[in-house]
Amino acid sequence: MNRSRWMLAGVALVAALALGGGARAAVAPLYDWLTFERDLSRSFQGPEQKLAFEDTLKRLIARAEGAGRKPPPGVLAEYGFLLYERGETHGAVRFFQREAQEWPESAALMDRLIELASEVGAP
Amino acid sequence: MSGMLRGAAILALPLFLAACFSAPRRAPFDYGPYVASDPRSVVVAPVAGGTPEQRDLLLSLIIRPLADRGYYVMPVRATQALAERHGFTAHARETTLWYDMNNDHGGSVVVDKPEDAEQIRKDAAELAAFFGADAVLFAQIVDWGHEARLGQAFKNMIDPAMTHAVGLDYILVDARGETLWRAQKHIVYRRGGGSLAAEIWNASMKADDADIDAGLAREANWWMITGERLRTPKLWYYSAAPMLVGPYHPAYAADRARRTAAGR
Repeated sequence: MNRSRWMLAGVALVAALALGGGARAAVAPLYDWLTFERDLSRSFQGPEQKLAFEDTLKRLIARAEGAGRKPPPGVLAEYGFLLYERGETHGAVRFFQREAQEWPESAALMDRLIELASEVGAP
Repeated sequence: MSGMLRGAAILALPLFLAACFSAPRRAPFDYGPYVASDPRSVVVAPVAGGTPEQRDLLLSLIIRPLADRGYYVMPVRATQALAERHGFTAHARETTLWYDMNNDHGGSVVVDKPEDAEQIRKDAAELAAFFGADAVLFAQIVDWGHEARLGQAFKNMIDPAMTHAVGLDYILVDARGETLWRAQKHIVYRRGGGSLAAEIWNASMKADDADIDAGLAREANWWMITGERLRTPKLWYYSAAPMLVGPYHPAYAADRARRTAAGR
């Protein structure tokens, strides 16, 4: 009886330690990223892999809009840059402007990208 | 009563051992310039070292922990394309081999030279001005790969004993060229070999060697930026000096108030 009580106390202490450590370790991520990391790394490999990345970006933007939040930093601009690479400069400029609106820190870079997209022709 | 003492002793033992085996404490990192500079946005400079595939992968890995740490991270595909277009190139610093006999751990490490520091200061100012960023993160791959352990390759035909190693070096520099933060991490992982039965078992569920390397890079990158382990959180294993939380992080205000009050 006595022994089982001590075992119980031991388990409780270990659990408390684990939770205490966990509370420090488990910082909730600020943003929902889906498969952003994986698809971004593959997007460098070729035009076909870019499509998967584009799809993920679209889903990230749609999810953020649905939840009334902003998409993670750079997502709108990355999508705009994919459009620019494809020659859809009007769409690209729209997304660069949205990025600058959502994230004021990006304003200077977005101006540069808008300027780039406004030049004649794709890269 | 003796049972209680014994219970307490048994519980205390792992704590004591963990304290003994944790890495020796280094001098506390001086966050003074970091707190004073207080960057909101970060652009990742072209990565130095490694192969083109490794550099692309590392770029993709850096974004997420940096953003989740509370910073605005410049869109990486756009910034890399612009950097290339405007002739910004990576500046790879010289590396040297090191080996620690105490734990049989070795690899490469960046050599600090005054001329490199000057170059980084100059590059940071240029990149920050060009992209309109508050700070520039310079990453260098010093180690990334795997090799069969010598003397074991013939013995283990099915699943040769392999050493995987990834070493990264990060420097965060603000627009004025002041170094705000520096981190280095080297992870070595040894696997394979053993008895024939073990080899067959291991080989049957073995990941691709390059994927194991990539996993180590992901872990090292996460650990340097956030100070936490990604895959296998352990209670007593935190980085002494991760990046400070940025303005979009919920803990930002409290962290700044505490550091300003403490003077660092």
